[in-house]
Amino acid sequence: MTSFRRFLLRRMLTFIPTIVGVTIVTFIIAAVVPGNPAKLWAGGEKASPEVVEQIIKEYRLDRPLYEQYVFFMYKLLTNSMVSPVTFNYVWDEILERLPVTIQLTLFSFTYIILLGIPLGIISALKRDTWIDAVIRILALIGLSTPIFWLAYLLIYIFFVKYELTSLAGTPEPPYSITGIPLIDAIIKLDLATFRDIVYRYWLPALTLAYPYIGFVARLVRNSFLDAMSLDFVEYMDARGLPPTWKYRHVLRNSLIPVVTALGLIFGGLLTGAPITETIFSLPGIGKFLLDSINNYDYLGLMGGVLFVGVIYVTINLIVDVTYALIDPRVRY
Amino acid sequence: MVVPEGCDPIIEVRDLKVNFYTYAGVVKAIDGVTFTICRGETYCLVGETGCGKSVTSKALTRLIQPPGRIEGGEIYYYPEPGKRVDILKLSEKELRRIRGSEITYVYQDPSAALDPLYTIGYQVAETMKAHGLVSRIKEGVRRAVDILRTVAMPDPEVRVRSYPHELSGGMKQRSVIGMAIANRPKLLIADEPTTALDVTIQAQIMDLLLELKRKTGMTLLLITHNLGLVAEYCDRAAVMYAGRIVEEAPVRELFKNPLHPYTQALLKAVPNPLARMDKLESIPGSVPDLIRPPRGCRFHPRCPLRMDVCSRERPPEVLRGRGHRVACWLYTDEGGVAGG
Amino acid sequence: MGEEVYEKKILDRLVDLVVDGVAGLIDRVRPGWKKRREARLSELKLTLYALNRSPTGLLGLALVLFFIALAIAGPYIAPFSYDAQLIFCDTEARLAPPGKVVVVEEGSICHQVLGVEPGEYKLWLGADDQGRDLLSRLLYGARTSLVVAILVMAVGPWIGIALGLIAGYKGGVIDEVIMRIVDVFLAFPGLVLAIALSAVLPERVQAFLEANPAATSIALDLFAVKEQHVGPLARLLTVVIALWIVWWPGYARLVRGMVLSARENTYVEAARALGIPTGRILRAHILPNILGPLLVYLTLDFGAVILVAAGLSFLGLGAVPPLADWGRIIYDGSQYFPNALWLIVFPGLSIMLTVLGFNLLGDAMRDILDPKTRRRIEFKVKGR
Repeated sequence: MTSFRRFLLRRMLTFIPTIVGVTIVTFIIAAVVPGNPAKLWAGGEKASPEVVEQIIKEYRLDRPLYEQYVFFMYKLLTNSMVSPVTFNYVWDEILERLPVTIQLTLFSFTYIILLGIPLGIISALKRDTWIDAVIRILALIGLSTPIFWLAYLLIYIFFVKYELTSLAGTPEPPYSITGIPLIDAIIKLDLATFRDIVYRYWLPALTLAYPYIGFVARLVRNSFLDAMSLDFVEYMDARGLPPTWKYRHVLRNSLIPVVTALGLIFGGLLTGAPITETIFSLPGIGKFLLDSINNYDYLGLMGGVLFVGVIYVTINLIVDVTYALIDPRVRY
Repeated sequence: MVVPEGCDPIIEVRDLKVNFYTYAGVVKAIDGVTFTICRGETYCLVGETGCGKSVTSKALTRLIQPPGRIEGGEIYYYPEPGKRVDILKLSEKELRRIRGSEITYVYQDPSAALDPLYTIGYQVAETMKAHGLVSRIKEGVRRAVDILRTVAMPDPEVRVRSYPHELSGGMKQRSVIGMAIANRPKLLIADEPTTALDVTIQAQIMDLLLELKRKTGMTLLLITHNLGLVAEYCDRAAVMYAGRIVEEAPVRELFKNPLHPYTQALLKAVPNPLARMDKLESIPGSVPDLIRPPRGCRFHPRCPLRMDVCSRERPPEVLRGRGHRVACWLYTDEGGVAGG
Repeated sequence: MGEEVYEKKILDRLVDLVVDGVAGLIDRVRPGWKKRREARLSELKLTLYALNRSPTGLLGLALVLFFIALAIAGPYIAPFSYDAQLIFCDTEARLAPPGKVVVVEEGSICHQVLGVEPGEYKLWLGADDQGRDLLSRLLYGARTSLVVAILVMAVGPWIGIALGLIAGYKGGVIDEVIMRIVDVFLAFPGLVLAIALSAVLPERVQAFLEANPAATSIALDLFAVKEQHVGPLARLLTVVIALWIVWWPGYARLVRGMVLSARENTYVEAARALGIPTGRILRAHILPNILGPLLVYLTLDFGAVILVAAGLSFLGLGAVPPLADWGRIIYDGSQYFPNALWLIVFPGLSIMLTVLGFNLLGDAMRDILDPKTRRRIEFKVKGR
């Protein structure tokens, strides 16, 4: 296991420069902000010069870029950065949005796994039949559909016509264990709250999951077929193994790329869904990023992008480690 | 049929035909192959790459995958003397019972036979469980230790828990052989079992196979392009060329008295273990395209002794001596006359 | 060989005609060209024959060609200009449902200012809140989508391809540095990065356009946009730049991987051992090998760019009215949701069918260009 430890260490070492790189890129994006951010923050054209001056001092906008960078990073990491637009601590605001994003992610991921994987397997087993053709085309349609359009169609059917979902508020139970209502409700076996949460989230999650379902179904189909053509599968016939056993081996071999993709999708979902959150008025991370941009809150944006980048890179790391664990061939 | 006296057949193949339907055309991979394997012997199929020897061996338990298809002939398997099973009439389920337990295979490349994600022990155990030898995988893994010991695997207790990529080629092939003998087969088909291995390992693996054969009394079908192996390990051998058997004889007879021009050329092309040779000769020409095979005798375009009839009609099989048959016009009455 | 493998269909003859015709033309300019490329030309024909036998691939090709035709001809065949506000002709044109007939009277403001000929017009797909004809705006929108996609795909992926080639071939420190930068960019979710960039870039783009009138007039012609709408156009171009930056890292990683596996080939090793210069090895031995899969990715991404660009417009980044952009039309229409559904349904369908076209085509190409599945297809072509 020492070699595994060395692999982990090496992987961690590339993790750090990536995170630093993410913060630098974020800073550069924020630094190319046109015009005078202090003036914008102070209230635009009619801002009093004293307030502008004070903001410039407070956020060290008159200092060299590298000093600003160090200052921003320090403030963000110690959660002492206050957004000049919302007057809240940036970190607190992000954490406040996190439960919504996590719940949306959990629901979407459930759809993706429960629909994407079985459809892909069916498609592969029935390859070159009409079932396969239908699933493949459906998957491609899924990948081609603008979800903001789909969202309105679904809202029209399930909200306007049949009222099978709600589009306002976010259900929150009176108690808090993990801070995530869905998980709390499950722990407490609080069916009423659980139902409320499902009622609120099932449609946005389906919208968000829709393209990924097609993506995963295609991936599962193709990697299942790739695994079917591996040499050892033919030898399994020669060993007289029943077809179901054979498919178990094939499935396990085909799941390796799928697990990787699912990990990355999970990471991607956790970084927020600006479009879905906007349409369904869910205050998640994606909505936060959009709001920051629209409010010229570049410090909030920087905090948000940093947060999202760190999550994504971390999930990436976990995926790599999982990969090494499930595939014995990976040499650390 | 040419069967040695006192032969108790275990496999009988008559006029087997296998085609592959590819986009470039129909490949007539096996075109009328007939032979019998006797219980307890070591039978060899010899020939160059692509002559159809592997396809023939796979056809014995109908392992031909699409686009290939068995298009004609008969295959009989005798599990015990006098009991005849028509392989081509069995259901998939009945075939599966025979494959991996009564008739087993060892392929050329052991890495292509093993699932990289499962341990050696698991895969051996799985083969046993599939045929009801053990009821649980765990029990099978325990028994696998003994089996690996039988195939002379070093440290079998450790190796059952190893993954294929952690083993050397020789050790992998030992594991595959372990899988093949785990269910005490009646016939083991070894398809180029040593070709992918280091030269030093080859003899060990062959000796292992022979020893296992001696211990269990199973029959061995050895498929190889290596005439040295044929001479050393086989009882009888059939030489295949372009999807047909051109000559079949007991091994000593074949090496001492090769009749078919192709066999003769083949023996001149490799060091003959049974005769002194001054130099090696290559066979002129190349292996024919089996989508449009030559008419008549498929070897005639490369044959130094060809006659008119060779390009017109398929040569009949001629018996010459005990258990020695050859498919060549030279040894027929007409051919003999024509050849002077 | 000589035996005819394919039973030729009409489409195959068309392929022969086009390929032979083009090859003949080039051959006339550069004699001997056709002879040198004979093997490749017949391989190309075989590939196209295989495409002719993929119903989904043909459907994709048809959708793509239809889209391109509309994008080119759209501004000319549209009944109205993208910014013609028919409310000035007929107040009932505001949010007019599909099929509504609008009357333009002689001498009305509409006639005089907007230059719309008097008469009765049927608004086949309805109109938006300014009474702008949806059909016309969708036709202009096709142009917008196509040009955005072309501009993005003409630059973004190629930055990645170049860097991926260098990283994969050179290895060592250069590889490490390039790939770490790629990691950083891949760490941002694409949409978020694009959003952030489109938020901070517009002023710079507008300044650039003002300083470069030549570039501006080319851009105006490309997008079929009137001169007074340079401001909105600058915002649209911002999306293009943002997508360049989002689109290259994926290609860098992809191409690097492909180069690494192509390098394993014996003939590449042999070429290196013979001391053939790097550039030549890349061009002659590695690039042709990775071109097939690359073409598939480029096709699929053409659709993806259209989808993402529409998403950005929907979020209010990129094109703003009166410019016609499918994503933005949906956003503007959504203000009246659940009324005026046509403002959402039709532009959404346009996006979906266009992207679907590229996806179907790319998917079929993947099957055709992958040697593993290629055999199966050719096998099926032969029948039996």
